[in-house]
Amino acid sequence: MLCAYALRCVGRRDVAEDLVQETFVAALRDPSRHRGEACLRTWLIAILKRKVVDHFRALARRPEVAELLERAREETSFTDHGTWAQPPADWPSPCVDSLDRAAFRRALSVCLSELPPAARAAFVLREVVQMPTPEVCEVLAVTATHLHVLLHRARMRLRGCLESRWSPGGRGA
Amino acid sequence: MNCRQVSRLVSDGLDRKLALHERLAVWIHLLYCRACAAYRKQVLMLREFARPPEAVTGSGVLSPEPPEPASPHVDPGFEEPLSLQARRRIRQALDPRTPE
Repeated sequence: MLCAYALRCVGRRDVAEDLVQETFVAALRDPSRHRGEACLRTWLIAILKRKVVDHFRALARRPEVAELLERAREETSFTDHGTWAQPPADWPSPCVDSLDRAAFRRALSVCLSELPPAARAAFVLREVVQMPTPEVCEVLAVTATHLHVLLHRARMRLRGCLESRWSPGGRGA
Repeated sequence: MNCRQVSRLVSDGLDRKLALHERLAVWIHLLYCRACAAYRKQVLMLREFARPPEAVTGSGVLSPEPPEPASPHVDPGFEEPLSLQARRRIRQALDPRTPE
């Protein structure tokens, strides 16, 4: 469970496994912090989330990623007149069929792993870890405007990727 | 307001409170633009499926879903417990006297 969560966040097995190890080490070093009101899994997930945040905080300081964060620019999915170059498809909600939900989640995981590092960091911190935007800005050392551009770019890429990788009805990915 | 601007506001609306004039502009645009309405639906689905609420509520992250075929990008074995090597590294981190 922890491994799968970490993998969804960071996209690389080796990094995810390191984060899970650090989570267990942190938990076992100070088990008294688990006060019993939360179940063990919830507590471990909370620790893992902090490890994920620390991972992206360090990632954002790397020169190559910092440059990408700095150069965050608008998507190019539009014509010069500002209309859609390729209009989004009307996705049916995969809310009833569990197989379809599974297919969508699977395709989303694949598409997440293909995002550029800066967009991925922004999207994961905001949508998977569910951090408030000011905290994401602090972690990635970007302005709110930059973050909004990054998130928009991540969402545009993800939807484009999902359109090619997910077929409603469970045939996708 | 064109689709490029509206799509940006639709995305921004998930992360900040839009100003009244922005909300109105988006609402009016979505009344006649099916493409942007579809985009809005897509980003809402992305939010729903990216978030693992089960992880926090305890009903099971990565909830019980039917077995999935292997993907070229996602390691199919990753749902398995930590590897022997990983367990050894954890033990070593906790107790340096543990043999390699």
